[in-house]
Amino acid sequence: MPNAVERVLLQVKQQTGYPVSVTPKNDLQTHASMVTATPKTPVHAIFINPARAQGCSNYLVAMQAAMILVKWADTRRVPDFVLDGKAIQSVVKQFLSDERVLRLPNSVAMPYVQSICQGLALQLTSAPVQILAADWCYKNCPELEEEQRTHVRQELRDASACLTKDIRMQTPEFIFARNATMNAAYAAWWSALAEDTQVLLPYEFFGFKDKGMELYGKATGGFPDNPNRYCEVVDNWAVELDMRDWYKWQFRQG
Amino acid sequence: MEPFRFTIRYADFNLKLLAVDSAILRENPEMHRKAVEKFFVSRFSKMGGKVTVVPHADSVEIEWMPTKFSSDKSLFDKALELLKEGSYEQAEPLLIALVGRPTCDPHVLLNYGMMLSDQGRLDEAIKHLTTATTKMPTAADPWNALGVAFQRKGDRAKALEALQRSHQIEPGNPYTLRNLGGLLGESEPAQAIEYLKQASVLLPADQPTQYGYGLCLFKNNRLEEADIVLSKVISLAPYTEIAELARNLRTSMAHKNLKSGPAGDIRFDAVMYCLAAVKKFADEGSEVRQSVTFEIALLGRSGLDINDPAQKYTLKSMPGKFSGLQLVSYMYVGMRQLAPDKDPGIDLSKEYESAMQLHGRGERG
Repeated sequence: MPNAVERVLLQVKQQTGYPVSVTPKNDLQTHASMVTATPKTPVHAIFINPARAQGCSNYLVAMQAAMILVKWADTRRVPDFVLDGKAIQSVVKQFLSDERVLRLPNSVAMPYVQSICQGLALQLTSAPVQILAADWCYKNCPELEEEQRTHVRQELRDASACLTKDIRMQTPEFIFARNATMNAAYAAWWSALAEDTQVLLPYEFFGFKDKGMELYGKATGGFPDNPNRYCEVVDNWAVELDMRDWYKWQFRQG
Repeated sequence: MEPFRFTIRYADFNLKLLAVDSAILRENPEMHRKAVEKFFVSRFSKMGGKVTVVPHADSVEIEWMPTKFSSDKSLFDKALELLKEGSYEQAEPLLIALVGRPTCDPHVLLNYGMMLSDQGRLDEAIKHLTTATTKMPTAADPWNALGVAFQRKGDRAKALEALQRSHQIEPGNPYTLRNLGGLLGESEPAQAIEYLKQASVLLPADQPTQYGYGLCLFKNNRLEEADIVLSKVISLAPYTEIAELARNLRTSMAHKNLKSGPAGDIRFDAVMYCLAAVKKFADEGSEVRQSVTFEIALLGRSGLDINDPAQKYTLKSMPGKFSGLQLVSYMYVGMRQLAPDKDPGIDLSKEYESAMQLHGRGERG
C-alpha cells in the first residue's frame, strides 16, 4: 500500500476514532463507495471495484477516506443529508406535467421522475464533498497525482455524456440545467487545478460554463480550517440552484 | 532544433485522449474539432514553446517549436518519463510529434507501439511494432512487444513466433520470460513453469509476473508454493484486479484443502466452532451477532489463514485470540442467521447443521 494511502487512513482513524477497512467488491456499481462507522459497526468501510478502479485504485481509497475527513470534520456533529419527503413529492408532481416527461409512457413516467429527482439531490450532496476531498488529495497526496488525473478525466468524460441529445430530449429542463451546472463546476475545479481547459468545452458549448464557474467559486477553500465547510458549500449551491427546500440536515455524534 | 510538423485527421484522433464523452463529440462536429485542437495546444503549450494550429475541413495541421527541449532525444526522454508514470494521455502527443519525423528513432516506435498495445489499439500497435522489429531485428524488446500485441489480438501462432524469437535473442530477458510463460501457461502449464519461475526471480515486485507464476503453480497442482506466491501478489498492491484474482484463487485453494482433510466430508473442529458461535449469538443477541459477523467479514477480505491452527487474530467486537477457521466458522453462523440468501464464500453447511443439532440436544437435555 503506498505511503499516501496509509497516511490518509491513519489520519481518518486519528480524527474519527474508528479504523478504516478497505474491501475490493466486484459487484459494486460504481468505482468506489463508503459506509461510515457507527458504534454498532465500529469500522469505516471503503469498497472499491477492482475492475473499474484499474489504474487509480490507490487514489480512490485515499479519496473515499478524504471524504470521511470532510464529513467528519467535527466528530460531535456529523451531518446527514436528509431529503424532505413533502418537498420532493411536490417537485415530482410538478415534473410529471413537463412536456418531456409527458412523452413517456405513463407506467415509466413516475419512477423515472422520482429517480432523476433523487439523483439530482444525491449530486447536490456529493459534488461539493467530491471537490473538497479531491482538492485536499491533490494537495496532500502528490504521489497519487497521476492516478487522480486518470480518474478525474474519466469522471468528467462520463459526466459530459449527460449533455447528449437523447438525455436533453427526455430530461425536464430544471433537472437537466442543474445537473449540467454542477458537472460544469466540477470541470471548472479540475480545469483551474490542472490547467486542463478542454474539459470545460462541452459546458461552454451548451451555455453552462459561467454558472458552473460561479458554483465552483463557492466551493473553493475553507477546508480543513472550517469544520462546517461541507454543509456550507452544499447550502450555498442549493440556494444558487433553487433547491434549498429539498433537504434538511440532521447531526449525530460520531 | 527543427519545429515538429504533422497533420492529423479529426476522424483518426483517439477520442479517449479527451475528457469529453465521444457520443457528444460525434453529435457536435464543431465541438469535436475544437476539442482536438485545444488538446494539442494545451499539451504542447504546457511543455513550453510556440504552437500553431491550422484547421482544414477534415484534418488539422500542427506546428510546435519547443523551447524547453534541446533535441529530439530530450523530448523522447520526457515522453518515457510520462509513460513510466502511466500518463499516456500526456505522453501520446509527444510520441505523435516524434513519430512524424522522417528520421524517427525506432525506440520511439517501440514505446509508442507498446503504449497503443496497452490501450487495446492493436492494429496501430502492430503496425508500429512491426516497423520497430524491421529497424532493430536483433533486439529482443520489439519482438517481445510484438508478441504481446499479437497475443492480445488473439493470434496465438504469431504471438508464439515473435516471443520465441525474442527469447532466442536474449534468453534472460525477464519480460520475454514472463510473456512466453504466460502464453504457454494457457494450455501447457508444465512447459510454462520454468519460464515463469525465472521471470518471478528477475521481477520480484512485478505483480502480473508474480500472479502468472502463482497461477501456473496452481495449474500444476503445486498448491503450497502457489499459496506463498499468491500471498505475495496481494501484498504487492492489495486493491488491484490482479490482487482480487489472487485472493479468489487462494480462497478456492483453502476451501479445497479444508474439504480434503482426513475425516472426509466434515471438519469436527469447525463443528465445535460453529456450536460456540450458535451459543454465543443465542445468549448475547442480534447486536453482538451483527457486529462480530460484520467485523470478521471485513477482516476476511485481507485473507484469513484457515489452515493454520494458531490463534493469531483479534477482534474489537469479541475478546480473545482466534484461529482463522474459528473466525470463519463464527462468520458462517452469523451469515446463515442474518442473510441466509447470501453466499458466505465458504461451505460449512454440514458443520453448521451438526452444530445446530448439538445445540438443540443441549437445550433439550
